[in-house]
Amino acid sequence: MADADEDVIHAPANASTQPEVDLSDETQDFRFLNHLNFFADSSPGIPRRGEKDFEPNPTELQADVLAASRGAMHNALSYPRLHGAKTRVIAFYAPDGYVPPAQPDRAKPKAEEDGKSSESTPKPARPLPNSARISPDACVYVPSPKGQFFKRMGQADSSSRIWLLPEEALYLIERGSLDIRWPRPSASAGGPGEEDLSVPMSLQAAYACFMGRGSLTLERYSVYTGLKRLGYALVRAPGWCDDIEPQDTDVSDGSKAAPAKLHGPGLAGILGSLFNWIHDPLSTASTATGPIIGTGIHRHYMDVYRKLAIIPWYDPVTAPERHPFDTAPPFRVVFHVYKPSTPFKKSAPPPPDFRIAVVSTRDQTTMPTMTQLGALLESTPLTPRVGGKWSGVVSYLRIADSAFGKEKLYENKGGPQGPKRSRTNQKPRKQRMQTMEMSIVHRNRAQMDLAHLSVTYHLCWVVDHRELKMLSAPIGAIVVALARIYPTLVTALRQTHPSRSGSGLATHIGAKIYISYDTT
Amino acid sequence: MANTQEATKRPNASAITEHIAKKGYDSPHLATSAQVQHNLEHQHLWTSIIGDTPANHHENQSLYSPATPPHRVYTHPDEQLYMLENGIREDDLKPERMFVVPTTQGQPWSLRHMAAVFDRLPEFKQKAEEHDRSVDATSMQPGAESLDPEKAEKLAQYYDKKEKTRVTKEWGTQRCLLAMVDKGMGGDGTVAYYVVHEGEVKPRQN
Amino acid sequence: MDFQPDLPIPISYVSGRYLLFSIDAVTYLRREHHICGVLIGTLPQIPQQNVFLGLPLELMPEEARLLVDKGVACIVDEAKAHDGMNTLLEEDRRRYLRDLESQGLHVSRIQSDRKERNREQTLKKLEEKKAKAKAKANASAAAVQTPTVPEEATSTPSPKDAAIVDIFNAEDRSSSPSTATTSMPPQGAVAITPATSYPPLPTPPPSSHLSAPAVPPSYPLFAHLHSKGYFLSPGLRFGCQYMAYPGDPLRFHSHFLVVSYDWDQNIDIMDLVVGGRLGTGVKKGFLIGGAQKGIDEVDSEADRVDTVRAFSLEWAGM
Repeated sequence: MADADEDVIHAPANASTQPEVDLSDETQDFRFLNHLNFFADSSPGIPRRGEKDFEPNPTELQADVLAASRGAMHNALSYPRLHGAKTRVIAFYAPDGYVPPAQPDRAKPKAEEDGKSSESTPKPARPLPNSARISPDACVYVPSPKGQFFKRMGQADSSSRIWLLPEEALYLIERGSLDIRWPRPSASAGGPGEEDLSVPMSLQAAYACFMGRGSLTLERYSVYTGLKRLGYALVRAPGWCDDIEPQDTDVSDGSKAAPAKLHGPGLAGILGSLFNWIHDPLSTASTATGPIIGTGIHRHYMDVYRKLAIIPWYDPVTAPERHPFDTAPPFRVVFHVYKPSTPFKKSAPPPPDFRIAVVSTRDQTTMPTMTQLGALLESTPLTPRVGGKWSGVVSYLRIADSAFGKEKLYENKGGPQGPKRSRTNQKPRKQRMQTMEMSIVHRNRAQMDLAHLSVTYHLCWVVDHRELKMLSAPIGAIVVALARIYPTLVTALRQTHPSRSGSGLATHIGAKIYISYDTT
Repeated sequence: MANTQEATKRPNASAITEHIAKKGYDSPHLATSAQVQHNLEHQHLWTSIIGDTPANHHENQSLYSPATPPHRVYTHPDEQLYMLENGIREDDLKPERMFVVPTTQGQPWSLRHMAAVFDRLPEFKQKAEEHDRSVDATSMQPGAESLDPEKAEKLAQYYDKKEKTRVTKEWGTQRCLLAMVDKGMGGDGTVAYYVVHEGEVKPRQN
Repeated sequence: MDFQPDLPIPISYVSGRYLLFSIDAVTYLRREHHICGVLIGTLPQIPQQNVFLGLPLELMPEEARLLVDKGVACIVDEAKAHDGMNTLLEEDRRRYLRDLESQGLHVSRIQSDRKERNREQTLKKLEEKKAKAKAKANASAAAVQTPTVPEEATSTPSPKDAAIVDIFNAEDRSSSPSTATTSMPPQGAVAITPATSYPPLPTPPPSSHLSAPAVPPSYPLFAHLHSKGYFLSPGLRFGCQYMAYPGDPLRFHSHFLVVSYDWDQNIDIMDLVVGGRLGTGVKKGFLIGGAQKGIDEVDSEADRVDTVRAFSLEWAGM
């Protein structure tokens, strides 16, 4: 009650009906974890959160409750990682990376079948006999894999050992699903089934050894593990390695630097204006020599509005697609993500549901420049997300190109605006639908366009691309809008996860974030 | 479309624009200050506005427009609790002068500025009190005759306590009202008001 | 509970970040020094959610610095420290394995005890249910029974529905009757993945400690608020630098969204509106502040902290 944003209890996953609050946004009272077992059978539910107090007072009750909370937290965090005899999966740490099986075991087609291409990080690979699909970054192997996890993780070598990437191994050891062992003391002791003196790796050891290995940063790992916990499948994207520079191929510097292609109203618009011109020959093309509307006969408001739309805008559909390596870290896609519902095969991953770039907002305190963002967007056919991370906290933003001029407010009078609209066209429309989620909730705020930017819900800045400064805050708190009659690239930024509404004013007030880069 | 002449005719300037134009302020911060005063007086019905004086300026910046709001702008949560416990309503109390700092978008502003505002606040407070006494000694008093003795007693206690909290800061520290005028793109007359406290003052919960 | 770890507490420096793996250290720092950090690990008992997270605990550089400056903690290069695993004496290795085994035996004994008790309880419950069901109309019987008898009758513990009874309850807490009936006699020791590497590794010598963490320009304000008793946590979710809590965030709502500025850094008035408006919207204050003196004007970071001035903003509601 003290805090509307924090106090909403976990709502059913009906994302579109109300702005929910993500429980993970706040420090949880671990006492409620202890209640879990009471309903563990029926639902793997998450406990309701407790009431928090506004401020400390000298009452004993408050002190007791705090002590209980801390005790519960202590207990929950002390829970050991156990491996029962039946479920135990043993793995070994290979500090030197992939080593081929000891006894060359040639014809094993199974490995072939399991191999796949997504791990083919273009790092200069060391010679990999037989199992070329295993990443050079893999550093943990499972001699006898069993259990559900290896369907979506790891790569098998020719003797059916599964090799895990550092993040995979770390994730599995952290959730208590893998018993990783240090390499045996003497290299000679390699007898199968005899792990005489192999010491189990601690969680701490796993972090110390795997983190930093093969471009794995804590930020990337946090994003990886955060999504894994929710059931997503993740594979490394080709842009994983930071040391791959933008390729200087046939594209000359000058043309490459021009990040945004400015378009007129697109093909449809051109056809439309052609049509208008035929329909209304009296109108003048130049606004400099006469009134914008002209003196034609107007049978419909639409005609008038169409003529008022004089601002050229950027259309992502017609933008050229770029190679991923044109992007510069950190604004580069590092993960391909698959929803839990997406059928995913390790050997042939489908097109990803999401592409994720991971940005540490500690190191990158400014908004991406238009060049960075433009390259990122153009290197992806769909919508990437940016996971911003700041000291253990991860926040996701959806970044989408938006075709500013495509959202024709005037064609849309009356009636609730939202995903149900029939007037759809291909890709950008689809993105639009996703970014409109919020608008169902706040119907009165739904229609956001030039006409509405002056409404009090919005705070407007125009970001000059020459001087991109941090707006007092990491990504997430920026509400930028445009109202300039310049050719402008509009990028819509909105938090995808409606429940992450804590992050930033924009989401809090149900507004969408526009970042406009002034390219003049 | 027939009469384009008429359509392009310039609309009349707003009252405040005319006012500012007529005064012909020689520096933009004076115009900002005038706009805020105008807004306080006519939109928010503040009274006893002490106009801008050269003494109120600091580094080319209007520091304060002391004025009295019709209702209290700010009550510290603990003060509110005290009032609740003692049955004191806001209407029982005399209005509190608030010091308003006019600012506008794009104006240089920093912690140094903010600190300067608070460093000079006591001085201006004193001046404003002198001014109040000189103008009308009784106008600031609520209708004391209509009070029953019990209430009067409570109120006296309240004022006592209030005086003490000035030192203990139990009921908040020095504060002023930051008025922010949007002049971007010609401005739309919006003035946003924020209460600024010196130091860490816990937020109100309502 | 009121465990007092040996000081200084080693903070693991891993890949540029500051982590804690010892639950005792985490509890102690929270209780005695108001340092909370952020839990970033998966809880093995409920691994498929992001609401409750487990060790390790990530500290902001500011938090690590504060603790180092207070002499409470030191920074250890964990990757380097783990090189010690290669040179571990065989004797130590054996002893460590023996220790782990006896812990594992202990755990499995507790587990089988509990399983036995669970089995009895479940059987008893089933009996009651059956009796009740018989007494009632037969149509409702099935409905009553369903919630207590899980449909999946597999005896393999599925980590998905793991729940906690208490710290040493195994993941295969299962009330399913089939498990109960097929329950095994205690088998050998349960294998354990320890949280920390100390032991078997020896405590790193002071000579190996890294220097105090570099901190961002917002550190003086951080330290200032911390010295006033506030608990601070990262503010990304609210688009600010820190959240300031009047008490342990476990039990209290935050009071402020905090953003630090340099003394002469230009503040965009609009930023004040954004912060103030968001803060008021979530019933918090927007607090800005910074040190009056630069690091070149004073002897140490600590001296700058004394020159911090801060201001709280709230929407005036008019």
